[in-house]
Amino acid sequence: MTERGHLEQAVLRVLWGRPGGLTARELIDALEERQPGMTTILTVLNRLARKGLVTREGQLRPRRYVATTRREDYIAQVMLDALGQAPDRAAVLSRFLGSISEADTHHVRRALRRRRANDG
Amino acid sequence: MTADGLRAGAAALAVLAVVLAVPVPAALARARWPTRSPGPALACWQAVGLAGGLSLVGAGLTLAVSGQGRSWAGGLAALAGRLPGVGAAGWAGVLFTGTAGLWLAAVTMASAGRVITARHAHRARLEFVAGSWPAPPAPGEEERAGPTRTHARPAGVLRLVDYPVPVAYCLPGLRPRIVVSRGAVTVLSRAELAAVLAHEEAHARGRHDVLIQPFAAWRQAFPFLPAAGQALRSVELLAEMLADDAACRACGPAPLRSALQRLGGEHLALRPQDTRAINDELARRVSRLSEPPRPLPRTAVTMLYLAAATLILLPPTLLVLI
Repeated sequence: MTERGHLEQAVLRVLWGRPGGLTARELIDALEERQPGMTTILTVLNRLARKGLVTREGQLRPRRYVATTRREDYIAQVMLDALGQAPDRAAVLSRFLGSISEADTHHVRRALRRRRANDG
Repeated sequence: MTADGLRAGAAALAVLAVVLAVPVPAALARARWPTRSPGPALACWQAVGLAGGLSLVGAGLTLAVSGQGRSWAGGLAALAGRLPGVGAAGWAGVLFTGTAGLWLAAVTMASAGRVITARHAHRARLEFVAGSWPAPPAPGEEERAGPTRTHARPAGVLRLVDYPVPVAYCLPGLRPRIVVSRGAVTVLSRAELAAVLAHEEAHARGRHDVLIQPFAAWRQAFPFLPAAGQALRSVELLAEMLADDAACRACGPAPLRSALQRLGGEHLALRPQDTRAINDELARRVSRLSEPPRPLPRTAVTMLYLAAATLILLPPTLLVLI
Protein backbone atom coordinates (compact mmCIF):
# COMPACT_ATOMS: atom_id res chain seq x y z
CA MET A 1 0.00 0.00 0.00
CA THR A 2 1.38 3.36 -1.00
CA GLU A 3 1.75 6.43 1.20
CA ARG A 4 -1.00 8.14 -0.79
CA GLY A 5 -3.29 5.14 -0.35
CA HIS A 6 -2.74 5.18 3.39
CA LEU A 7 -3.60 8.86 3.56
CA GLU A 8 -6.75 8.40 1.47
CA GLN A 9 -7.89 5.67 3.87
CA ALA A 10 -7.11 7.75 6.94
CA VAL A 11 -8.99 10.76 5.55
CA LEU A 12 -12.03 8.72 4.64
CA ARG A 13 -12.07 7.09 8.07
CA VAL A 14 -12.06 10.50 9.76
CA LEU A 15 -14.85 11.76 7.49
CA TRP A 16 -16.96 8.66 8.17
CA GLY A 17 -16.85 9.61 11.85
CA ARG A 18 -18.04 13.19 11.16
CA PRO A 19 -21.40 13.17 9.35
CA GLY A 20 -21.42 16.99 9.27
CA GLY A 21 -18.19 17.11 7.31
CA LEU A 22 -14.94 18.97 7.96
CA THR A 23 -12.91 21.70 6.31
CA ALA A 24 -9.50 20.76 4.98
CA ARG A 25 -7.86 22.54 7.94
CA GLU A 26 -10.01 20.70 10.49
CA LEU A 27 -9.27 17.48 8.69
CA ILE A 28 -5.51 17.97 8.98
CA ASP A 29 -5.92 18.57 12.71
CA ALA A 30 -8.12 15.49 13.07
CA LEU A 31 -5.56 13.14 11.51
CA GLU A 32 -3.73 11.34 14.26
CA GLU A 33 -0.62 10.22 12.46
CA ARG A 34 1.90 12.47 10.73
CA GLN A 35 -0.15 15.47 9.62
CA PRO A 36 0.08 16.29 5.92
CA GLY A 37 0.34 19.76 4.39
CA MET A 38 -2.61 21.66 2.91
CA THR A 39 -1.62 20.90 -0.71
CA THR A 40 -1.38 17.17 0.02
CA ILE A 41 -4.71 17.04 1.82
CA LEU A 42 -6.46 18.90 -1.02
CA THR A 43 -4.96 16.47 -3.56
CA VAL A 44 -6.16 13.52 -1.51
CA LEU A 45 -9.64 15.06 -1.16
CA ASN A 46 -9.77 15.62 -4.93
CA ARG A 47 -8.84 12.01 -5.55
CA LEU A 48 -11.51 10.83 -3.13
CA ALA A 49 -14.02 13.14 -4.81
CA ARG A 50 -13.14 11.66 -8.22
CA LYS A 51 -13.77 8.21 -6.80
CA GLY A 52 -17.18 9.40 -5.66
CA LEU A 53 -16.39 8.88 -1.99
CA VAL A 54 -16.33 12.52 -0.91
CA THR A 55 -18.25 15.65 -1.94
CA ARG A 56 -17.66 19.35 -1.37
CA GLU A 57 -20.46 21.24 0.31
CA GLY A 58 -21.33 24.93 0.37
CA GLN A 59 -20.33 27.85 -1.81
CA LEU A 60 -18.41 29.77 0.84
CA ARG A 61 -14.78 29.03 1.54
CA PRO A 62 -13.46 27.20 3.38
CA ARG A 63 -15.58 24.41 1.97
CA ARG A 64 -16.63 21.43 3.98
CA TYR A 65 -15.85 17.92 2.79
CA VAL A 66 -18.41 15.21 3.49
CA ALA A 67 -18.28 11.45 2.95
CA THR A 68 -20.91 10.45 0.36
CA THR A 69 -21.83 7.14 1.97
CA ARG A 70 -22.01 5.86 5.50
CA ARG A 71 -19.27 3.40 6.38
CA GLU A 72 -21.73 0.50 6.81
CA ASP A 73 -23.25 1.16 3.38
CA TYR A 74 -19.83 1.31 1.77
CA ILE A 75 -18.85 -2.01 3.35
CA ALA A 76 -22.13 -3.58 2.22
CA GLN A 77 -21.42 -2.38 -1.33
CA VAL A 78 -17.89 -3.79 -1.31
CA MET A 79 -19.19 -7.12 -0.05
CA LEU A 80 -21.85 -7.13 -2.76
CA ASP A 81 -19.06 -6.59 -5.28
CA ALA A 82 -17.46 -9.80 -4.16
CA LEU A 83 -20.61 -11.84 -3.77
CA GLY A 84 -22.63 -10.63 -6.70
CA GLN A 85 -20.33 -11.36 -9.63
CA ALA A 86 -21.95 -14.66 -10.46
CA PRO A 87 -20.96 -14.72 -14.15
CA ASP A 88 -17.26 -14.03 -13.56
CA ARG A 89 -16.40 -16.55 -10.94
CA ALA A 90 -12.71 -16.43 -11.75
CA ALA A 91 -12.58 -12.93 -10.26
CA VAL A 92 -13.50 -13.99 -6.75
CA LEU A 93 -13.13 -17.60 -5.76
CA SER A 94 -15.06 -19.67 -3.34
CA ARG A 95 -17.50 -17.41 -1.64
CA PHE A 96 -18.67 -18.66 1.68
CA LEU A 97 -21.80 -16.86 2.70
CA GLY A 98 -24.20 -17.85 5.32
CA SER A 99 -26.62 -17.57 8.20
CA ILE A 100 -28.21 -14.34 7.23
CA SER A 101 -31.77 -13.77 8.26
CA GLU A 102 -34.53 -13.64 5.68
CA ALA A 103 -34.75 -9.86 6.03
CA ASP A 104 -31.03 -9.49 5.39
CA THR A 105 -31.21 -11.73 2.36
CA HIS A 106 -34.11 -9.73 1.07
CA HIS A 107 -32.25 -6.47 1.58
CA VAL A 108 -29.08 -7.74 -0.11
CA ARG A 109 -30.99 -9.20 -3.03
CA ARG A 110 -32.85 -5.96 -3.57
CA ALA A 111 -29.60 -4.01 -3.53
CA LEU A 112 -28.10 -6.47 -6.02
CA ARG A 113 -31.05 -6.19 -8.36
CA ARG A 114 -30.96 -2.42 -8.20
CA ARG A 115 -27.29 -2.46 -9.08
CA ARG A 116 -27.89 -4.84 -12.00
CA ALA A 117 -30.60 -2.52 -13.26
CA ASN A 118 -28.25 0.45 -13.05
CA ASP A 119 -25.46 -1.43 -14.84
CA GLY A 120 -27.59 -2.82 -17.59
CA MET B 1 3.52 -33.57 -49.53
CA THR B 2 0.64 -33.05 -51.90
CA ALA B 3 -2.25 -30.67 -51.56
CA ASP B 4 -4.47 -33.70 -50.95
CA GLY B 5 -2.25 -34.83 -48.09
CA LEU B 6 -2.46 -31.42 -46.52
CA ARG B 7 -6.23 -31.37 -46.92
CA ALA B 8 -6.44 -34.75 -45.23
CA GLY B 9 -4.31 -33.38 -42.40
CA ALA B 10 -6.59 -30.39 -42.09
CA ALA B 11 -9.59 -32.72 -41.94
CA ALA B 12 -7.93 -34.83 -39.23
CA LEU B 13 -7.25 -31.73 -37.14
CA ALA B 14 -10.81 -30.50 -37.68
CA VAL B 15 -12.20 -33.85 -36.52
CA LEU B 16 -9.94 -33.72 -33.47
CA ALA B 17 -11.16 -30.19 -32.70
CA VAL B 18 -14.81 -31.27 -32.90
CA VAL B 19 -14.19 -34.38 -30.80
CA LEU B 20 -12.44 -32.29 -28.15
CA ALA B 21 -15.17 -29.65 -28.24
CA VAL B 22 -18.24 -31.85 -27.86
CA PRO B 23 -18.11 -35.54 -26.84
CA VAL B 24 -14.90 -35.49 -24.78
CA PRO B 25 -15.97 -32.65 -22.43
CA ALA B 26 -19.40 -34.22 -22.08
CA ALA B 27 -17.86 -37.58 -21.12
CA LEU B 28 -15.36 -35.96 -18.76
CA ALA B 29 -18.14 -33.94 -17.10
CA ARG B 30 -20.23 -37.11 -16.63
CA ALA B 31 -17.39 -39.31 -15.36
CA ARG B 32 -17.30 -40.25 -11.67
CA TRP B 33 -13.53 -40.67 -11.27
CA PRO B 34 -12.58 -36.95 -11.32
CA THR B 35 -14.02 -36.43 -7.82
CA ARG B 36 -11.63 -39.13 -6.57
CA SER B 37 -8.54 -37.23 -7.76
CA PRO B 38 -9.42 -33.66 -8.72
CA GLY B 39 -5.80 -32.69 -9.48
CA PRO B 40 -5.21 -35.09 -12.40
CA ALA B 41 -8.76 -34.43 -13.59
CA LEU B 42 -8.04 -30.71 -13.79
CA ALA B 43 -4.87 -31.48 -15.78
CA CYS B 44 -7.01 -33.46 -18.24
CA TRP B 45 -9.44 -30.56 -18.58
CA GLN B 46 -6.60 -28.15 -19.30
CA ALA B 47 -5.24 -30.55 -21.94
CA VAL B 48 -8.65 -30.92 -23.59
CA GLY B 49 -9.10 -27.16 -23.76
CA LEU B 50 -5.61 -26.41 -25.01
CA ALA B 51 -5.50 -29.24 -27.55
CA GLY B 52 -8.97 -28.30 -28.78
CA GLY B 53 -7.94 -24.73 -29.44
CA LEU B 54 -4.65 -25.76 -31.06
CA SER B 55 -6.30 -28.25 -33.40
CA LEU B 56 -9.01 -25.76 -34.36
CA VAL B 57 -6.48 -23.13 -35.40
CA GLY B 58 -4.14 -25.79 -36.84
CA ALA B 59 -6.92 -27.16 -39.07
CA GLY B 60 -7.53 -23.75 -40.60
CA LEU B 61 -3.82 -23.08 -41.09
CA THR B 62 -3.27 -26.43 -42.79
CA LEU B 63 -6.20 -25.85 -45.12
CA ALA B 64 -4.81 -22.41 -45.92
CA VAL B 65 -1.40 -23.75 -46.98
CA SER B 66 -2.90 -26.71 -48.88
CA GLY B 67 -3.32 -24.43 -51.91
CA GLN B 68 0.45 -24.23 -52.14
CA GLY B 69 0.83 -27.97 -52.54
CA ARG B 70 4.03 -28.11 -50.54
CA SER B 71 5.05 -29.10 -47.06
CA TRP B 72 3.30 -27.40 -44.20
CA ALA B 73 6.13 -25.04 -43.21
CA GLY B 74 7.10 -24.25 -46.82
CA GLY B 75 3.47 -23.63 -47.67
CA LEU B 76 3.11 -21.25 -44.78
CA ALA B 77 6.11 -19.21 -45.98
CA ALA B 78 4.79 -19.21 -49.58
CA LEU B 79 1.36 -18.23 -48.31
CA ALA B 80 2.70 -15.11 -46.69
CA GLY B 81 4.40 -14.21 -50.00
CA ARG B 82 1.45 -14.49 -52.36
CA LEU B 83 -1.93 -14.41 -50.74
CA PRO B 84 -3.94 -14.05 -53.99
CA GLY B 85 -2.75 -17.42 -55.35
CA VAL B 86 -3.94 -19.66 -52.53
CA GLY B 87 -7.07 -20.99 -54.24
CA ALA B 88 -10.56 -21.56 -52.89
CA ALA B 89 -9.60 -24.06 -50.20
CA GLY B 90 -6.75 -21.80 -49.18
CA TRP B 91 -9.06 -18.86 -48.80
CA ALA B 92 -11.50 -20.93 -46.78
CA GLY B 93 -8.63 -21.91 -44.49
CA VAL B 94 -7.37 -18.35 -44.15
CA LEU B 95 -10.86 -17.08 -43.34
CA PHE B 96 -11.53 -19.89 -40.89
CA THR B 97 -8.20 -19.53 -39.07
CA GLY B 98 -8.53 -15.77 -38.96
CA THR B 99 -12.08 -15.79 -37.68
CA ALA B 100 -11.73 -18.61 -35.17
CA GLY B 101 -8.29 -17.56 -33.98
CA LEU B 102 -9.10 -13.88 -33.64
CA TRP B 103 -12.46 -14.58 -32.00
CA LEU B 104 -10.92 -16.95 -29.46
CA ALA B 105 -8.03 -14.59 -28.73
CA ALA B 106 -10.29 -11.54 -28.47
CA VAL B 107 -12.82 -13.17 -26.13
CA THR B 108 -10.10 -14.70 -23.96
CA MET B 109 -8.26 -11.41 -23.59
CA ALA B 110 -11.44 -9.42 -23.00
CA SER B 111 -12.58 -11.89 -20.37
CA ALA B 112 -9.20 -11.94 -18.62
CA GLY B 113 -9.03 -8.14 -18.77
CA ARG B 114 -12.49 -7.80 -17.25
CA VAL B 115 -11.61 -10.17 -14.42
CA ILE B 116 -8.33 -8.40 -13.68
CA THR B 117 -9.99 -4.97 -13.71
CA ALA B 118 -12.82 -6.12 -11.44
CA ARG B 119 -10.34 -7.69 -9.05
CA HIS B 120 -8.12 -4.62 -9.00
CA ALA B 121 -11.06 -2.28 -8.35
CA HIS B 122 -12.36 -4.56 -5.63
CA ARG B 123 -8.99 -4.75 -3.90
CA ALA B 124 -8.68 -0.95 -3.93
CA ARG B 125 -12.18 -0.52 -2.45
CA LEU B 126 -11.51 -3.25 0.09
CA GLU B 127 -8.43 -1.49 1.47
CA PHE B 128 -10.61 1.40 2.70
CA VAL B 129 -12.52 -0.85 5.08
CA ALA B 130 -10.38 -3.92 5.72
CA GLY B 131 -7.94 -4.31 8.54
CA SER B 132 -4.94 -6.60 8.49
CA TRP B 133 -5.62 -9.71 10.41
CA PRO B 134 -4.36 -10.99 12.71
CA ALA B 135 -3.49 -7.48 13.86
CA PRO B 136 0.26 -6.94 14.30
CA PRO B 137 1.06 -7.78 17.93
CA ALA B 138 1.61 -4.88 20.28
CA PRO B 139 5.15 -4.73 21.69
CA GLY B 140 5.57 -7.38 24.35
CA GLU B 141 2.37 -9.13 23.37
CA GLU B 142 2.89 -12.82 22.80
CA GLU B 143 -0.53 -14.22 22.03
CA ARG B 144 -1.97 -13.25 18.66
CA ALA B 145 -5.63 -12.85 18.01
CA GLY B 146 -6.98 -14.87 15.13
CA PRO B 147 -6.90 -18.39 13.83
CA THR B 148 -4.47 -21.07 14.91
CA ARG B 149 -1.54 -20.99 12.57
CA THR B 150 -1.17 -24.43 11.09
CA HIS B 151 1.67 -23.19 8.92
CA ALA B 152 3.17 -19.83 8.11
CA ARG B 153 0.83 -17.56 6.20
CA PRO B 154 2.27 -14.91 3.93
CA ALA B 155 2.06 -11.56 5.66
CA GLY B 156 -0.66 -9.16 4.66
CA VAL B 157 -2.82 -11.74 2.91
CA LEU B 158 -5.66 -11.95 5.42
CA ARG B 159 -8.17 -9.13 5.65
CA LEU B 160 -10.92 -8.69 8.21
CA VAL B 161 -13.98 -6.66 7.25
CA ASP B 162 -16.42 -5.27 9.76
CA TYR B 163 -19.55 -6.81 8.23
CA PRO B 164 -22.21 -8.66 10.21
CA VAL B 165 -23.04 -11.26 7.53
CA PRO B 166 -20.68 -14.25 7.67
CA VAL B 167 -18.57 -14.04 4.51
CA ALA B 168 -15.25 -15.57 3.47
CA TYR B 169 -13.66 -15.47 0.06
CA CYS B 170 -10.41 -15.41 -1.82
CA LEU B 171 -9.40 -12.59 -4.13
CA PRO B 172 -6.75 -14.33 -6.22
CA GLY B 173 -3.84 -12.73 -8.00
CA LEU B 174 -0.17 -11.98 -7.59
CA ARG B 175 -1.02 -10.30 -4.28
CA PRO B 176 -3.90 -12.50 -3.15
CA ARG B 177 -6.28 -11.47 -0.41
CA ILE B 178 -8.28 -13.78 1.79
CA VAL B 179 -11.19 -11.80 3.15
CA VAL B 180 -13.16 -12.76 6.23
CA SER B 181 -16.04 -10.80 7.72
CA ARG B 182 -16.55 -10.21 11.41
CA GLY B 183 -19.75 -12.23 11.06
CA ALA B 184 -17.78 -15.27 9.89
CA VAL B 185 -15.34 -14.97 12.80
CA THR B 186 -18.30 -14.80 15.20
CA VAL B 187 -20.30 -17.66 13.71
CA LEU B 188 -17.52 -20.16 12.98
CA SER B 189 -15.66 -22.09 15.62
CA ARG B 190 -11.89 -21.76 15.73
CA ALA B 191 -11.42 -25.08 13.95
CA GLU B 192 -14.02 -24.26 11.30
CA LEU B 193 -12.41 -20.89 10.64
CA ALA B 194 -8.99 -22.51 10.28
CA ALA B 195 -10.47 -24.98 7.76
CA VAL B 196 -12.13 -22.20 5.75
CA LEU B 197 -8.88 -20.23 5.68
CA ALA B 198 -6.91 -23.31 4.59
CA HIS B 199 -9.44 -23.82 1.79
CA GLU B 200 -9.15 -20.22 0.57
CA GLU B 201 -5.40 -20.33 0.89
CA ALA B 202 -5.28 -23.39 -1.36
CA HIS B 203 -7.18 -21.39 -3.99
CA ALA B 204 -4.76 -18.49 -3.68
CA ARG B 205 -1.57 -20.60 -3.72
CA GLY B 206 -2.70 -22.95 -6.46
CA ARG B 207 -3.83 -20.04 -8.65
CA HIS B 208 -7.09 -21.87 -9.26
CA ASP B 209 -8.37 -18.72 -10.94
CA VAL B 210 -5.88 -19.33 -13.75
CA LEU B 211 -7.20 -22.89 -14.19
CA ILE B 212 -10.81 -21.66 -14.37
CA GLN B 213 -10.30 -18.53 -16.46
CA PRO B 214 -9.81 -20.18 -19.90
CA PHE B 215 -13.02 -22.16 -19.46
CA ALA B 216 -14.95 -19.04 -18.48
CA ALA B 217 -13.59 -17.43 -21.65
CA TRP B 218 -14.50 -20.49 -23.71
CA ARG B 219 -18.06 -20.32 -22.43
CA GLN B 220 -18.22 -16.66 -23.42
CA ALA B 221 -16.74 -17.40 -26.85
CA PHE B 222 -19.15 -20.27 -27.60
CA PRO B 223 -22.21 -19.72 -25.41
CA PHE B 224 -24.25 -22.00 -27.71
CA LEU B 225 -22.02 -25.03 -27.01
CA PRO B 226 -23.46 -27.04 -24.11
CA ALA B 227 -20.02 -28.60 -23.59
CA ALA B 228 -18.54 -25.18 -22.77
CA GLY B 229 -20.99 -24.72 -19.90
CA GLN B 230 -20.46 -28.28 -18.64
CA ALA B 231 -16.70 -27.79 -18.79
CA LEU B 232 -16.82 -24.57 -16.77
CA ARG B 233 -19.07 -26.06 -14.09
CA SER B 234 -16.88 -29.18 -13.82
CA VAL B 235 -13.64 -27.23 -13.59
CA GLU B 236 -15.09 -24.93 -10.92
CA LEU B 237 -16.32 -27.86 -8.86
CA LEU B 238 -12.98 -29.68 -9.20
CA ALA B 239 -11.12 -26.56 -8.06
CA GLU B 240 -13.36 -26.43 -4.99
CA MET B 241 -12.68 -30.11 -4.28
CA LEU B 242 -8.95 -29.57 -4.69
CA ALA B 243 -9.12 -26.78 -2.10
CA ASP B 244 -11.32 -28.98 0.12
CA ASP B 245 -8.64 -31.68 0.01
CA ALA B 246 -5.96 -29.18 1.00
CA ALA B 247 -8.11 -27.99 3.91
CA CYS B 248 -8.69 -31.62 4.98
CA ARG B 249 -4.97 -32.31 4.97
CA ALA B 250 -4.41 -29.27 7.21
CA CYS B 251 -7.41 -29.53 9.54
CA GLY B 252 -9.26 -32.80 8.93
CA PRO B 253 -12.63 -33.16 7.20
CA ALA B 254 -15.00 -32.50 10.14
CA PRO B 255 -14.49 -28.72 10.63
CA LEU B 256 -14.63 -27.98 6.90
CA ARG B 257 -17.81 -30.01 6.53
CA SER B 258 -19.58 -28.18 9.35
CA ALA B 259 -18.30 -24.83 8.03
CA LEU B 260 -19.67 -25.67 4.58
CA GLN B 261 -23.01 -26.64 6.04
CA ARG B 262 -23.11 -23.41 7.97
CA LEU B 263 -21.81 -21.02 5.28
CA GLY B 264 -22.62 -22.94 2.17
CA GLY B 265 -24.39 -20.13 0.33
CA GLU B 266 -21.35 -19.76 -1.92
CA HIS B 267 -22.71 -16.70 -3.58
CA LEU B 268 -25.95 -14.94 -3.94
CA ALA B 269 -27.88 -16.35 -6.84
CA LEU B 270 -30.70 -14.29 -8.21
CA ARG B 271 -32.16 -16.97 -10.43
CA PRO B 272 -33.70 -20.10 -8.88
CA GLN B 273 -31.86 -22.41 -11.30
CA ASP B 274 -28.54 -20.99 -10.06
CA THR B 275 -29.52 -21.71 -6.47
CA ARG B 276 -30.33 -25.30 -7.44
CA ALA B 277 -26.96 -25.74 -9.16
CA ILE B 278 -25.14 -24.26 -6.16
CA ASN B 279 -27.00 -26.45 -3.68
CA ASP B 280 -26.30 -29.51 -5.80
CA GLU B 281 -22.61 -28.65 -5.98
CA LEU B 282 -22.53 -28.09 -2.23
CA ALA B 283 -24.27 -31.38 -1.50
CA ARG B 284 -21.65 -33.22 -3.58
CA ARG B 285 -18.82 -31.56 -1.70
CA VAL B 286 -20.34 -32.25 1.72
CA SER B 287 -21.01 -35.91 0.92
CA ARG B 288 -17.48 -36.19 -0.44
CA LEU B 289 -16.17 -34.91 2.90
CA SER B 290 -18.44 -37.31 4.83
CA GLU B 291 -17.38 -40.35 2.85
CA PRO B 292 -14.10 -39.54 1.15
CA PRO B 293 -13.77 -41.59 -2.05
CA ARG B 294 -10.62 -43.65 -2.47
CA PRO B 295 -8.10 -41.60 -4.49
CA LEU B 296 -7.13 -43.11 -7.84
CA PRO B 297 -4.19 -45.52 -7.71
CA ARG B 298 -0.78 -44.06 -8.47
CA THR B 299 -0.49 -45.82 -11.83
CA ALA B 300 -3.85 -44.43 -12.96
CA VAL B 301 -2.77 -40.93 -11.95
CA THR B 302 0.48 -41.32 -13.92
CA MET B 303 -1.47 -42.56 -16.94
CA LEU B 304 -3.80 -39.55 -16.72
CA TYR B 305 -0.92 -37.08 -16.65
CA LEU B 306 0.70 -38.90 -19.58
CA ALA B 307 -2.57 -38.83 -21.50
CA ALA B 308 -2.94 -35.10 -20.84
CA ALA B 309 0.61 -34.42 -22.08
CA THR B 310 0.06 -36.58 -25.17
CA LEU B 311 -3.17 -34.78 -25.95
CA ILE B 312 -1.49 -31.38 -25.85
CA LEU B 313 1.33 -32.64 -28.09
CA LEU B 314 -1.04 -34.27 -30.59
CA PRO B 315 -2.02 -31.24 -32.71
CA PRO B 316 1.54 -29.89 -33.07
CA THR B 317 2.77 -33.40 -33.90
CA LEU B 318 0.14 -33.75 -36.59
CA LEU B 319 1.25 -30.41 -38.03
CA VAL B 320 4.89 -31.52 -38.13
CA LEU B 321 4.03 -34.89 -39.70
CA ILE B 322 1.89 -33.39 -42.46
